[in-house]
Amino acid sequence: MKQDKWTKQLHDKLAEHEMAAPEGLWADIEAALAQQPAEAPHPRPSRFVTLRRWAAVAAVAALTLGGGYWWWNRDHEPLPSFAKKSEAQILPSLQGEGCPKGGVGSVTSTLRLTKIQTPPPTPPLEGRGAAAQNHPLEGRGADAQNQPLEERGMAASEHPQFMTTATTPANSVPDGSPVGTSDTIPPITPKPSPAKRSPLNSPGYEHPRTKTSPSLRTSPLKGSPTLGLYAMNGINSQRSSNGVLMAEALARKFNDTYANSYGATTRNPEPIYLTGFEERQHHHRPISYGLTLSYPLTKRLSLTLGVIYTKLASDFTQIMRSQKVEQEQTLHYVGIPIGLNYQLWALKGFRAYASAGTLAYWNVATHLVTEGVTQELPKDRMQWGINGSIGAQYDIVPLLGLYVEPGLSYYPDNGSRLQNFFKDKPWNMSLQVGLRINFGRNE
Amino acid sequence: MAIGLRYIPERDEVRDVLQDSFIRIFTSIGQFNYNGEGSLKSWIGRIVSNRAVDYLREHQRFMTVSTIPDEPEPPDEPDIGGVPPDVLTEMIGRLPTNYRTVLNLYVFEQWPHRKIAQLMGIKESTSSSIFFRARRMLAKQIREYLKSQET
Repeated sequence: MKQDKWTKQLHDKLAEHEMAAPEGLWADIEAALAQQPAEAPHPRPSRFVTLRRWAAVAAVAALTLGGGYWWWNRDHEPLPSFAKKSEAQILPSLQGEGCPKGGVGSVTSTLRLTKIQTPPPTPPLEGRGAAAQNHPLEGRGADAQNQPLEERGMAASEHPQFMTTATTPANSVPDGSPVGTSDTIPPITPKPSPAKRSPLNSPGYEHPRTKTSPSLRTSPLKGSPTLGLYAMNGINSQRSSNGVLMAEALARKFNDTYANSYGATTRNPEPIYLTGFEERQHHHRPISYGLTLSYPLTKRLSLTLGVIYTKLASDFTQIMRSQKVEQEQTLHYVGIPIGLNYQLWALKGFRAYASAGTLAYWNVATHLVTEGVTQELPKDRMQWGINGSIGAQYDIVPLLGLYVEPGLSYYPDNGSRLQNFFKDKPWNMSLQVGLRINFGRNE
Repeated sequence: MAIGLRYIPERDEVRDVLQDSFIRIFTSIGQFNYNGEGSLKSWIGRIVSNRAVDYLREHQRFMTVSTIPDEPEPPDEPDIGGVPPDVLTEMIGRLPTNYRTVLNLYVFEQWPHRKIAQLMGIKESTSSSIFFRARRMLAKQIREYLKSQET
């Protein structure tokens, strides 16, 4: 900042000017300092406000966790009752068809037939129609319905590949006698019969983990909801250094003087930088902590909503020839992110995904210290942002996954005067690391 | 005291500002970084001026106008060599609060208008305009003072 002669004269005249302090000032200062420790224990209003904000954040987190727990239970509770209801509904109807009391195991086996996709080729079964041979389930149309239950039970028990679940009682396993080699069909009895071939080892056996029963899936068209806890920071900090422009009016005067002195025909339109003056700023890497809840829309696509806290710290240094003024600025933001997450690839416990979204930040607290003195700083305006990322997750256990997610964010200028990381580096890379609880994946 | 009076002409109020400033100086002396001769004096001066500006803001002495007509031509300033510092300080104290604050920050703290504008919540061009108005008013007072001294 170059000052003209008159301004400099004024500065020099009063810069070193001193006046005696008012009488009694030092005594008052000493008295005030003596009271300082006594006043210290009193809680400051700002601390109350900070505590209240943290309490609000904790409440949101508790609400999200509670909601997630309820959601999880909601998805799982109907399962046992559904299974019971299914059996209760089907059992009487089958018993009405003449099912013996001891034939429950056979009925269960019959029910599990619905899970078979294509039975392996089997020898023709005597006493059953052609349709029944080709389609074990559908084939029990007119022909099958006319057959006694014992025969149908036998049909199921004679084909171990139809035993699709480990819940099938052992007493329903047939003795494995070759089909079609006997004219008589052994009736189903509740007595345990020695099984020559275990259903677990049979060719058509499907393990419940590899082929999930439709009745055990929460939804065949959707993935599972997740709850994520994460920490994130920017990959780079931002440093810059600017010259200081001469005030516009002073620059005009300077240009006029320059033009008059040197007989220039045109005034210098260039901005005038002041020598010995400089402004340096250092924006530290942003640090964020967040909580997200993800709701599946389809098997691969999910909607994510959450809450995020971000801290932006900056140092400003203003150099005015021999003088240096240092400022430390800290801004605290709370944001609401919303986005979509698309699963690209999954294999065993690994999965890769891409996500994109937007978020709104509110500046909840500011802190400015100039040369050790705390000053007021107005809050920033609401800040919008958009982000995109790719991520990789590994499920440590089916219920809990660890993920890492590099991303790119853009923060448009919100028009405020506050200088911060978002303004000086609107595009920035970030790295997010966190834990994700996978609801509905407890198998 | 002289620094405080440049911002706040009322002596009782300056006393409060000085007291607050020195309490802050004593309680935050650990944050002072020695940068050579005169740096402590400069640091103390900045604390007093910052506290004075905060005081003015707290008591809402700043004008709320966002724009002031531009003053393209600087006034024809008289020589201030013959004006005693006490009188000059009093003259600055008679300026309206906004004018006085901008003039002090620009001339004595050597802040650029961009920073002054940020501090006072006004436009940079407004800070520049206020400074020229303050300068013209101060020049008028100096001329009147010098004229009275001649007679």
